[in-house]
Parts: sequence; C-alpha cells; structure tokens
Amino acid sequence: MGQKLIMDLENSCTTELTGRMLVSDVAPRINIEKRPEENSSSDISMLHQNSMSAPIVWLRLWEEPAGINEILRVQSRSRRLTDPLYGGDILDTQLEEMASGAPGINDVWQITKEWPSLTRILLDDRHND
Amino acid sequence: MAKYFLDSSALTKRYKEERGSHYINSLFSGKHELFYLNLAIIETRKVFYRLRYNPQVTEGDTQITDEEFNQVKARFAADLTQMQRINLTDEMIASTENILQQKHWLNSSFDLALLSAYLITREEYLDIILVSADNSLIAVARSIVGNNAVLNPEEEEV
Repeated sequence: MGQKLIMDLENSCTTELTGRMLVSDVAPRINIEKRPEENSSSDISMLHQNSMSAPIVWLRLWEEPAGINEILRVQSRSRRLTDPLYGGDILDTQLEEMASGAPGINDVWQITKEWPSLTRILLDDRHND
Repeated sequence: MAKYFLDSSALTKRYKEERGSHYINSLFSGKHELFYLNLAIIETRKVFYRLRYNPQVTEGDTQITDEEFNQVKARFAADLTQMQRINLTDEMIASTENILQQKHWLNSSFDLALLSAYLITREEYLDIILVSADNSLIAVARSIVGNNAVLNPEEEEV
C-alpha cells in the first residue's frame, strides 16, 4: 500500500495534493515535519496560504518519495537504454501486424517492375552517410 | 541447415527483380537459416520511405503509391518474421576497434557495424555465410574470413 501511495502521491503532486489520505498515510515514510491541525478539505488551501508551514511540508513531501521514485525511474530507464533486447516485443508485434496480408514475391515483383533498383538506392544512401 | 547472414543490400534484391534477386529468393525458398542485423530494418525501411515520400528524381527515383508502398513493406515485414534477428550489441561495437586496427577501411559506419556483427555471429555459427551486394564490404570481409564465406548475389545468379 505504501508503494502505491507513493506513486499516487507523486502523480498527485504534479498538479495538486488532492486528499488527506495521502498526507496522513504517507506521513511515516515521508517524515512530514509539520502538518495541518485539522484534516479537512481545506488542508490543501491551508498549505498554500500558510507561508511558514507550506514550504516545509512541500519540501518533506517531495524529498523521500521523489528519491524512491527516482531510483525506480533510473532502474527502468537504464534497462531501456542499455538492454539491446528492450522493446523487442514491440518490434515483433509491429512486424507481425505489418506482415498481415503480405503479397507473394511474384506480386511484389510486378509492383516494383518499374521501380529503380532498391539495392542501388540503399548503397548510395549508405555510402553517402 | 545452411546459415546466411543477409546484409540489407542483398535483402533488398528480394523486392525488385534484378541481378541477384533469384539467388536471394532461392535462399528464402530453401531450408536455410537466414539472419539479419536489426539495423537492416531501418536501412531498408528508409529506402521504401524515400520512394514514397521523398523520391530523388535527379537520381532516377520514381514516386510510388501508397498501395505499392504498403504491399512491399508488408512483404518485407513478413520476410523478417521468418528470419533470425541479430541485435547490435556492445561487444560488436567494441569489436569495430579490432577491425579498424587491422587497417581495414570501410566507406560507411553501417558497413563497419555490420561486419563486426557478422564476425561475432560467425564465432557462434562457424559456417555462416555473409551475403552482400556491397562491394567495399565484400572486399574487406573476404580479406578477413576468406572468399568462400562471403557471397555476392550478383555473382551467384541461379
């Protein structure tokens, strides 16, 4: 639950804090230094209005969840950027979808009869890179 | 089962009847294991997109229709699903240093990546044959692995 709340919290923080649950439930992990006396729907507006407490609360809200999420994000990012097989399933699906209804090679040759040599184009491109 | 590593310069011959096309077709129709480097997808796609959206009229290109474009792309995708994809790895990139240190000169970075990928693949499949229509790549590859391991479909017409 804590993990989900942190994810929720991060998502919420990008726009606004939307509930008391986030503040109170996440509190043990995010170490809120000061929170509103009353858990009411006006908590958020109070945070904004109270120039003394708001910066502290916001700072503490961001510190720990952002750290954890940053780790998760970096782990995810590093695999995406370093694993040569990452996205292989996406590519396979794309190819399979594109391949549906593919014509036979004789039909392709009919289609490309008047085309220039594809090999020539490819090699020109390759050697002009 | 014979194994072939198809450079995109050879693979593209499958989609346009020209010198070497029948040989490439024979590879697809026989019981062979065909390999390709993942970057070949990009390189070949680019040719189709060039003819569809950016034909170089001064170089003899003709603009193709949407229907033609989709049909040929579909055939290409269908062929790839029957082949073994080799992914360019860090080891292959590291290995380009060895190729360059041996003073082998290739005109394009793609050739270098492809040759490196082929040489690494060959360490896993000793009998795999490189099939290419790129003369500069062929010359360097033959000087490293010998004439018999590298085929030019234009010289192998059946």
